[in-house]
Amino acid sequence: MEYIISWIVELNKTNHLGFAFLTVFVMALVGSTIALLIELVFAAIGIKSDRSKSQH
Amino acid sequence: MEIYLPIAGVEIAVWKLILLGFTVGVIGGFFGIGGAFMVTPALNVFGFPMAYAIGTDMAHIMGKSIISTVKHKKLGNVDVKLGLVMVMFTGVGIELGARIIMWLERIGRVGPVVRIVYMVLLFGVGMFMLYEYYKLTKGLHRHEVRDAGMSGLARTMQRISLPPMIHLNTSGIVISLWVIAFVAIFTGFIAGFLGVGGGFIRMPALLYVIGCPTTVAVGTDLFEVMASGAYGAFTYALKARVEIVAALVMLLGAAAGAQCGALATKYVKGLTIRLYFAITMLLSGVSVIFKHISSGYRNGYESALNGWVTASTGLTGKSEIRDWIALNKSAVKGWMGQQTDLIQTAYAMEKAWNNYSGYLMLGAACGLSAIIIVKMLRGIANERRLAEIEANAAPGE
Repeated sequence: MEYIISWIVELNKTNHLGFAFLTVFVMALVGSTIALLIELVFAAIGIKSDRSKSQH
Repeated sequence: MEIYLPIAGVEIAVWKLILLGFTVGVIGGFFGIGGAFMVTPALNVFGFPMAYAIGTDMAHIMGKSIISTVKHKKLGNVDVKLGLVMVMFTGVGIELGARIIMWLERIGRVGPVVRIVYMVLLFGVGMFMLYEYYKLTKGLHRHEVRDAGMSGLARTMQRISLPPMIHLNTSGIVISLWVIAFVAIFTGFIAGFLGVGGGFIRMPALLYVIGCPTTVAVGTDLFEVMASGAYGAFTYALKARVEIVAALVMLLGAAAGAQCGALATKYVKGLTIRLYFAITMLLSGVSVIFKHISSGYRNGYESALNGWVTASTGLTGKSEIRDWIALNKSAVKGWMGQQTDLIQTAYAMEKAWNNYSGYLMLGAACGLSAIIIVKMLRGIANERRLAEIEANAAPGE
């Protein structure tokens, strides 16, 4: 973990374009992964995520 | 557990970042906003230099808005066609707003003008929505009114038959492309002018000018926040102002929060969403007043501090001096200790009012998200009870 953080800090200092692409890619990947995992957890505990009839 | 964030040079407790991410995630998912106006002052209070607070916030907003948009899409709240048209024209508005800011910077009036426009917009939108809520619920029990319906302005806008006309099936309206373009450019202009994502002005614009139902305005605005968040994260990362570890830790909390906030829109009436949004806007307006007071105190010592930085480092550019001050807090404190009581008091008061602004936003985020979570849990419980009643009734039918 420390090695990865050191690498990111170094990238931030030496290659701003690379750091910018990494930031967007990592945030999108982590965001999508967590969204998927939470959907699975919600489905497992029986919370419906679809459109409610009473709302629309 | 404390972690050291090497890019911003800050040490912070992990739970603070997760809690901040969670609360603003709930609010963002519920209102369809990025929530930068809450996160940035809170991160600043936690010790982040302002530029890093904004950049880190942008990165976490991007990840969080993906989660909220996916959730709202499943709930049928995202008008993709409207969102795409809005994204295309918003860029033009942002560029116009940024150019006006550069002109104001040249004449040295940027800070006060931006804060005053910000206050007028926050209080204006908040007061209008609060007035609308009380007008619609006057003489009725608040549970009797579900949503405010279409505004008179939106009806007028939809009568403009300037081709090409666009059929927005999710929103259930037909409207001229040029009306959408005007709204997108205007809200983009405000976002570029104030240096924010602009969700707090775009969501009401989708409601009152385009005429979207409340939940569709929330979902569609989040779609646009996703695009603007990606652009913001990229540009701030290019300037090396994103603390990516902090953004990831915040995203862990925000991910859960955004799901809960988006899900809560399924159980809360459109009119109630508007009421909570109005309260959020008014609290944010008070926070900007605190910021304005804080910057008044800053004028009491800024020129002396800048003069000392220039003399000791040779830096002359305003932004270079600001960056140096942000990254050399201990040196600044040492210099401050040798100054007159007047300068020391001005410095202490500036910090105090800045902190009041941050704590107000933090408190508002925690309180509002707690209310939204309770509403969501009650909604789920009611839904289950109804399902049980239906299941029990079915065999006898």
